[in-house]
Amino acid sequence: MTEIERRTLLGGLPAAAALAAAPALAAVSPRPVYGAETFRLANGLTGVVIPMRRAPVVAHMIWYRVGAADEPPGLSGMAHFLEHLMFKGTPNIGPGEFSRRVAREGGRDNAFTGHDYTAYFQQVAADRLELVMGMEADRMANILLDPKDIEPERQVILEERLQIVENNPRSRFRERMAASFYLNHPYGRPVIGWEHEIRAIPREALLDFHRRFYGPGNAILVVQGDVTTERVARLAERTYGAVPASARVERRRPQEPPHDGERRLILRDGRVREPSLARLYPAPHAHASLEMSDALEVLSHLLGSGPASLMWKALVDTGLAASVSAAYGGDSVDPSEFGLYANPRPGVAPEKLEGALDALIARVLEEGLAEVEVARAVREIIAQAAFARDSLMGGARSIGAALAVDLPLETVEFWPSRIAQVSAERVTEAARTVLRRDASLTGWLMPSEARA
Amino acid sequence: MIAPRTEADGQAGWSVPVQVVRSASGLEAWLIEDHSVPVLSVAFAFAGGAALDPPGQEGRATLLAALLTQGAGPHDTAAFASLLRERGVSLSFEAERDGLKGTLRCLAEEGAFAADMLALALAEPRFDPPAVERAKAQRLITLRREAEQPPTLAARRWWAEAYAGHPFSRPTGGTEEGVAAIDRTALRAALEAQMRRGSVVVAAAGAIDSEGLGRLVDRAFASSLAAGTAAPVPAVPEPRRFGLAVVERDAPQAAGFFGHGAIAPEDPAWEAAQIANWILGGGGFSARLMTEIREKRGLTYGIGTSLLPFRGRGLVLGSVATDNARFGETLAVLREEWRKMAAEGPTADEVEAGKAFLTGSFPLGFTSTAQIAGTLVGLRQLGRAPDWLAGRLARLAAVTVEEVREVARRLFDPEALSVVVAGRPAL
Repeated sequence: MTEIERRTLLGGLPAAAALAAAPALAAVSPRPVYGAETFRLANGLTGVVIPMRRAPVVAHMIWYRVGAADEPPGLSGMAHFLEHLMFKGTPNIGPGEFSRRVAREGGRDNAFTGHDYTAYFQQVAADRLELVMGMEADRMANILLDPKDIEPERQVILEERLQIVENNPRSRFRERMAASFYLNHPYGRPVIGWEHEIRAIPREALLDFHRRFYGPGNAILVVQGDVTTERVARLAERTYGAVPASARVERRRPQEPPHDGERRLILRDGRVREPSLARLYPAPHAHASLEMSDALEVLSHLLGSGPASLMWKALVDTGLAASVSAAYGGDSVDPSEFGLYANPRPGVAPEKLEGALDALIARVLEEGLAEVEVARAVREIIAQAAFARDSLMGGARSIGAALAVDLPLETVEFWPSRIAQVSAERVTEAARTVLRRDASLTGWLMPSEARA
Repeated sequence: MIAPRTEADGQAGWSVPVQVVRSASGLEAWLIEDHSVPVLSVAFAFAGGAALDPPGQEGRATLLAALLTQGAGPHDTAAFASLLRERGVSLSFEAERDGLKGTLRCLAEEGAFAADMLALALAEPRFDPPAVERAKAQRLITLRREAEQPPTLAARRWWAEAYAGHPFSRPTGGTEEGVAAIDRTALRAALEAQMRRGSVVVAAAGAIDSEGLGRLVDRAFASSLAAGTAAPVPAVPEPRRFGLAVVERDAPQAAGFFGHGAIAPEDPAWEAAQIANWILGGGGFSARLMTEIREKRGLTYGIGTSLLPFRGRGLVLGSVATDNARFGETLAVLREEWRKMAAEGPTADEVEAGKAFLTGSFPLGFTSTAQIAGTLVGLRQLGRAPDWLAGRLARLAAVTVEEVREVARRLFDPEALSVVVAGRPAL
C-alpha cells in the first residue's frame, strides 16, 4: 500500500515504519511518546495537539477518513483526483490561490492520499495558525469543482501517473503485485487509479464523494508545534466549528476471501537489467490483534532490517543477494500484507535466490526464533522512539495516520512499552500464522526475454 | 540556546544564535543549542567527494561512504550495525559532487559512545573483502536501476555535456566500469585523500552545550583522522552551453533537465537571486513555471528550479517531465518564461510574495536537529561567517524590487539555457 503526494512522491514507507519512528532503552517506561492531548467539537471534529516548542512554527494537518479503498468500483483514482481539486478553489478562494496564500504567509502546504485516508497539511508560523485553519475549514465546506479546472488537472494526474508509475519499472511492478495479490479488496487498486478510470471520473461523482466523506465528523485535526491545546481548541471552534455537523462514515469494503494456493507473477520489462524478487503474504492488522501486529512488526525487523537480520545472513552474506528487506504495517482499516524483498547479485540465478529464501523461512518456522535475536530486535526498534519528537511533523503524521484508520491514540503513544513485551514465543507464533507459502504471491520483475 | 518566547511574541524575539566552539585540540564546530528534546545531531564534511575519484575509479567516494559504516575495529558489519542500533545511534556518510558528508544522531546521554563509534569508523574501517564485494554489487545494481529512469539519464547527460573534461562531468555515484575497478587499496586511498584533520568541517544542533560539544568533537575527530589537509577540489568553471541534447529511450514520458551558470554564493546579490529563482521556478505552486506549465496547461505533474551553490560558482538547474507527444510544448513555454523573466523581470507583487515566503518560512528550517546541523555545515562548506544566519532576515527584507529585476537579468539567460531530454520527445 502506498500513498502519493500532490507535489512530490513520498518515500512510500509502510505505515509501520512511520509509527516506528520514535526511544531509548530506558524509555520503555509507560510514558507517552508524544504527550498528545485531544478535544472534540460539537460538530464531530476530533482535535489532537502535540506541543513542540523548538521553533515558533506549527504543522497543521487535517485527515479525512477516506482513501482510495473507499472509491466505487470503476472510479479508481477518485480520492486522489479530489485531493488535487481541493486546491482549485471555493467561492472565497480562487483556483490555485490556497497555496499561493500559504506561501505568502511564509508557509508550505501539500496533501497526500493513501488507501485509507486523505490528508492536507501546512507548516506555518505559529501566529498564522488561524489563517490556515480558516482556509482548510472553508474547503471542507465549500468546494467548487469548476468544470474548467477539472480537465487540466486530469491531464496533470495522467502525467503524474506516467511519471511515478509507467516511467519507473519498479513502481509498475509494485502496482501490479498489489493488483495480483488482493483477490477482492480494493487495496489491490492503485491509489492514483488506472489510466482508463482516471479518464472516466465524472464531476458529479467527485462532488458526491466530497459531500459524503469531507465533513467534520469524518475528519481529524492534528496540530503539532508551538501551541497549547487551549489555543488550538479555541481557534478550531472559530474556524472548523462553523462547518455543519456531519456523522462519521462507516467503511464497509469488500473483504478478502482466504488465499488458497500459491501464486506467481512474472513481469517482464525491456528497461530492466537486474531482476527483483517480492513475496507477499496476507497478514492480520492491528484491529484484529494488537499483540499479533506487534509481533509481526518485530518479525519484519528480525527478518529484513539491517546487516544483523536473518535474511541478510542467509541471502546477502552468502553472496546470493545484493540487498534484502521486509515490510509490514498493521495500521490499516482492513487486513493487508507482510512483504519480503530481495535483489539478486548480478549473475545469481533467480531460482537460486528464491530457493534460499524458502529454505530460510522453512528453518524459521521449524526452529522458531531465538530469544536473544528477538531481544536484540526489540531493543533496536525501541531505540528509535527517542527521535519521534525530533521533527516538526513526525508526530502529527504518526498520530493522524493511526486515528484515520480508527486506532486509538494509545496505540501510538505507548508502542515502545508494548514492543518491549514481545517475546520469542509470540514472534514464532506470528511467523507460523503468516508465512504460509500456500497463501502467498511470489513476484519477479525480470528483463524482457530477449535480454534475459 | 534557541531563545524562548511567549505565545504573544509570534516570531518576534526568536533567533538562532550560532555558537562557535573551539575544542581543546583546536577543532572548530558551530552549534545551535536546544534542549527541547534530549537528542543531538552532528554533521560534518570534508571537501573532495566524487571530484577526487581518479579517472577509471568513478564511484570511489560513494563506495567509501557506504563502507565506512560496514565494520570498524573489532566489529564486523553486523556487529557494528547492531551496536549502533541497539543504542539508538544513527551514523551515515554520503559522497557529493565536491564533498564527503557525514551525520551522527543520538540521544544526548549517548554522545560519548556515539563519538567513539564515529572515531572508530574513521580510524579503523575494516573494508573486509566480502563487505567490499557486497557494496560493489549493490552499487552496480543501483546504477543499473538508475539507468531505467529517464530523469536520471537526463540529469547525468546534462552534467556530462556541461562539464566535459571536468570531474563534475562524471556521475557522483560512479559508473559500472569505475565501480568494478575499485578495491580496498583504492578505498584507503580515498580516505587518505580527503578525510584529514585539517579539512573537517563540523556543526551540531540539539541538547548539548559548548563544552560538551568541544569534548565530543575531540573524541570523534582529534585522533581518528590523519594530519594535514586534503587535496584541493578543482575550481568549478562556468558550465558549457550546449543547447539541446536528447537521450533516446523507450519511455512513455520524456524527462527534461535544464539549466546554466548562475551568480556565485559570494555575490552580494545572492539573496536577491534567491527571490528571483523563487518567482520563476523555485516557489512551487507560486512559481511562474508551475502556473504556466502545470496549472494552465496540464503539461506536467511538476516543474521546478533551484540555485545550486558551490564555492565561487552558482548554477540554476531545473527538471520537468511531460508525455513524449507534448514535450515540445513544455519546452517552448519554458524557454519563453525564461526569456520573459530575463527581459522584463518580476512584478513588485511577486517580489513582495517571494520576500514574504523566504522570510516567513525561515524558522521552518529549524525544526529537527539533523536539519539544523546539516544547514550549519552547508554554510561552513560555502565559507559563510557564523553570523550569516542571524543576518538573513534583515538582508532579505532590504532587497528592493529593482535589485531583483537586475539580478533576474544576470541570472536567467535564455541563450545559455541548456536542455537534455530523455525519452522519445516530439520537439
